[in-house]
Amino acid sequence: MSPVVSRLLRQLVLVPVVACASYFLMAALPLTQESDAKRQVSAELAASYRRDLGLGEPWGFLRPWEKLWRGERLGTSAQGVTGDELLRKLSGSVGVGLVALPLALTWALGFALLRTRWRRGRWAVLGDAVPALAFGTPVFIPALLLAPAVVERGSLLPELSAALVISVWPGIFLGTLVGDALEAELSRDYVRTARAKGLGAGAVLRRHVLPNVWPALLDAVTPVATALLAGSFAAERVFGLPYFGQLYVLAVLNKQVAVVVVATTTFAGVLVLVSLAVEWMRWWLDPRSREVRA
Amino acid sequence: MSRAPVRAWVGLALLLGLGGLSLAAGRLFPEALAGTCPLGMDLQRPDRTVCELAFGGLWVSLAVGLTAGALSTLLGLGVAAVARLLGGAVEQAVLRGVDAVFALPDVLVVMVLQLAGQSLVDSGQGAGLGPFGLMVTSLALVGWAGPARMFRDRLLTLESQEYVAAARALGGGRAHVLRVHLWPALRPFVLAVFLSRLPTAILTESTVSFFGIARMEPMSLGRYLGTSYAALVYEGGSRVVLPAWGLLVLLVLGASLASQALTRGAGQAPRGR
Amino acid sequence: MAVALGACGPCGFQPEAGVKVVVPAMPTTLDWSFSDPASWANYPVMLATQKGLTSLGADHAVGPGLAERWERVRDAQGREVYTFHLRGDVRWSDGSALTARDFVFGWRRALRGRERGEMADLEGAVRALALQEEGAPEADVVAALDRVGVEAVDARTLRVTLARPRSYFLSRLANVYLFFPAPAADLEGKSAEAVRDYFDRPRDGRPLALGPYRVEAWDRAGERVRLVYNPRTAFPPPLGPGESPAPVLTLMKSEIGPALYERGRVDFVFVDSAAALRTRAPADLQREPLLSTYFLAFNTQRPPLDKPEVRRALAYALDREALLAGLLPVARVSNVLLPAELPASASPEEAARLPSHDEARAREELARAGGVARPLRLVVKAGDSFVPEEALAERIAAQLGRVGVQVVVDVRSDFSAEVARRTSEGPRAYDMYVRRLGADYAHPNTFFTLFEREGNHQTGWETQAGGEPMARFERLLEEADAEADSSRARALYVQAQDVLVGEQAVIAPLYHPDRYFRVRARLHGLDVDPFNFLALPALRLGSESGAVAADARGGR
Repeated sequence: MSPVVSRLLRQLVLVPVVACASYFLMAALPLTQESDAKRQVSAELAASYRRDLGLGEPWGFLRPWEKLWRGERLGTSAQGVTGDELLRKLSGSVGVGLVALPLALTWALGFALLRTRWRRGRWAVLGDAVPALAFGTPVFIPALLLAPAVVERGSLLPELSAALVISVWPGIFLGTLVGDALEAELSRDYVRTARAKGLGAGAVLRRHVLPNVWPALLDAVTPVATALLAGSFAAERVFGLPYFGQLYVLAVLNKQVAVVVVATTTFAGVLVLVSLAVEWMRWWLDPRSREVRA
Repeated sequence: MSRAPVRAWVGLALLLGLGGLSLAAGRLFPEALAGTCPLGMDLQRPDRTVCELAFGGLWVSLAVGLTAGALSTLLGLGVAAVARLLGGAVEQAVLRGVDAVFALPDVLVVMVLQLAGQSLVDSGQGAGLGPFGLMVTSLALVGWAGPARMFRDRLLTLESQEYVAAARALGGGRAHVLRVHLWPALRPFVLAVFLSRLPTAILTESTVSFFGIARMEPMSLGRYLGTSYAALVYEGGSRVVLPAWGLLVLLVLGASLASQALTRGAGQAPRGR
Repeated sequence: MAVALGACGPCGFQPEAGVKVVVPAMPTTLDWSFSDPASWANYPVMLATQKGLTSLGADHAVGPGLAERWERVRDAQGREVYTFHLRGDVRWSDGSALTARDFVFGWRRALRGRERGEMADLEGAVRALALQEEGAPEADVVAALDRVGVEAVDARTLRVTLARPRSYFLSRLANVYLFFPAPAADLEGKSAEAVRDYFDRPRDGRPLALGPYRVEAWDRAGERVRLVYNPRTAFPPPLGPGESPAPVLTLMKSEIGPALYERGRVDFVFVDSAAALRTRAPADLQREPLLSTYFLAFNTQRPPLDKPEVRRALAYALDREALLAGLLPVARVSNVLLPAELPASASPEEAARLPSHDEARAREELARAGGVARPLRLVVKAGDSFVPEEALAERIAAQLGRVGVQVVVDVRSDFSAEVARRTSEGPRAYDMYVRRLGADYAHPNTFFTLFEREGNHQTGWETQAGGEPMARFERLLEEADAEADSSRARALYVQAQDVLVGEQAVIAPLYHPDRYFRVRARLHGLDVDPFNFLALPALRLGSESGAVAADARGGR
């Protein structure tokens, strides 16, 4: 098998793994038991769980997907979801994420460059303080500070603010990684050689250093995308955005087990798509990745 | 680097100092925090001061973070060691499992685990886990994958070094090499990874509390921030939220300073999330 | 980014113009007949879109609703038979006429729904409910439902038979939405799944409405319900000069409702958070005293609370004034279950007989009963509510601590499950809980049903003294509910309250909560009623200036 194909398969296998793990975890909960004392929900709700999860049926774990495919509703009326609703909500969250990703990359490059500059001066302490501030701030705090100004104003303002808020921490995180790579590259001989030959600092950075930093950046894109989507859970709630994160949190709060299974798997599917895109980018940008690696 | 140990000490001092002060103030001299608090009373719980709730809850958050961090580091270390010891197809299978756990965000998995854990506890199958135990368990169950990956990669790097090859050549078994030659080299890295888990755990707890899913008792700093965020939109609410936020940032700063300094000593940066 | 923005232009979430109302909880279902146990959140939407046979006036008096008049007779078997004559001009929102069959169909569905216990007063309902509990064959259940006392005499005449006379029945018909008619023509012959879909996914003008609004969209994850005006309604809002109905009404949830109100982006918001109420009160803050009681309940099956003397001693130990001091702008502290606004509430002398603050007496009774040796666990509902529950619980713990009773406060997000949870030895696991009881209609009965044998009180007091006090309590209520003479009914209700709160001390009432809200002056008739329901049916738009005069909130 070619290494590229095996890398792709390695990514794809995540989806069935998550689907089975979440299904069997939910199916094992006492929520669906017959005995009143063990189960903590009403008999009707438990019956709907059993129906949605296909408990006690052969191939029961395909039941939630079968229902979605047929256009039926999963879960009880208050928090149920149909396939088309799920896709619509997902597209909203992914849209926010797609805006947040370039924002995060911008923060990352900006912070990396600033940090290499601070490194030598009296601002060195900021190199530690800024990441600590970014990491120590739960997404909901900046979201709450910003929300009153933008919620219910439309024109995509809440979406853009959500993207802005969730991009900060992953951006800074990416920035520290890129900053480390940048520093390592800047201290290499080829940089000194290029400078000695009379190239300007900007040109050296653009032509020689950044191409070598790209792989480090790409390595971190998948975890950053994960962090962005996770951050959007809190941001969607504060900004009142009716997207996937809200759907997920409400499903967990209301113990809609079938919706939790489907949503978790969908989430994993999105992450796999992101990492496939990253693989493709890597193949395109980094000639080294095209060589056969052990 | 000569600066590294100093930064590590600063970080550790910050963590232990804050934790110790909070424990002393919250547990031993509660009336000190209740009596003299420049920030005044909390808005939701008018009989408690902000200091009592925020600073008094800091050690609880720290304890959650330390326990969960220690558990997930140990778990990760065990998985990595087993994977390296067995090697081959087993190692690949373990790595795929690790990838699956690592791919999903902590908050999402902790939410699901809390849902599962709470319904088990309520039906009397909770194995005696209280809210604290439940939170620590769910945080440890999501947190081991990152460390496992890092330890496994680190072991791979260490194994390629000459003294390890020499030990192998002299007939040392895998377990022997791991115990005698690799472990001493790995130790500072383990400590760094452990410290890097701390802020993640505290933050995840806070975010899950914000969603109203976790029920952490006694009140921790994370839960306090996660449940009194609403005060921010009211007049005078910032005096409630900002100090708690500041304390959280200080905790993160302490943990990341110590962790980074130690990893630099060990030669590789652990990933945050 | 420009590409992403351009591509997502139409899919972005755009809030609409129209009246926006921030509510603390979204409906759990739109199916008013089948309903849901967490029903209180559904009331604003149900009352805006549907209508009952009767309606309640400002003084809680029963008036005509869908029925223009009715007759009530006692038949030979002692049953109570109502004949309702429906108004002729009432149409569903698609233009079809309301018929008596819609009631028969809706009530039979309600008898199979998730709140079917509420329908138990109907003749034959007990049998139909019992068959369902037993899991009897479908044919038997259907046959039993056919015999339940609701029948369409003709298209505009409905005959309802109650197993026994119930003085509260007409009040109940006004607000309890299980008794609202259902569009039989739309629903008959549909499969269970199709009926669920009919209510779950509003579209094409469905579900049909009778009230001034119709649900047009329900976004669950977005936590929004969009109501549009129903021009065919027979119950339009009372329009004054310069007023018009609101064409679109959005009910929404928001973490930052008060901040949005400040900035003019929403038009109505409940002010629930203690954080908001303890800061400077805004000029347009309004207060609605609720027909509601917040109380402490005891688990009467776990020692030492199995002794009435101990429970009574704890009730004496509570200083209700101090419990509420400084928490809310106003607090109507109380030691009685029935609020004074109810026609049958206790007189001050009668109230004085029930336990109120007397610390010396509490100590004395505790000492006599042998004291409380172990810490008691007080279960409290987690989350922001308009009752400052956590703060109250901590103060209760402190006050009981003063008489030597140690209390551990346990704040739970799964409050109702925790209160119902039983230990392996049999009794429930909690020691005490606090909760709010709200009236659904203005009748003492609504406060007592919770504590009857079948009620959801979870205190286990039906086992006290071999069940004798409970039997006496139920007999008193039975008599009172059937009593036509209001002063004699009142005396009976007061006696029942004495058994529950005084003699047995199953609960210790603490205060009658109020609701606070802010509403724009240009919205007339938008209000919270004493039942804690957001009252939308009378909403109309006016100018800012004429607001106060046009506002029908006189007398409050």
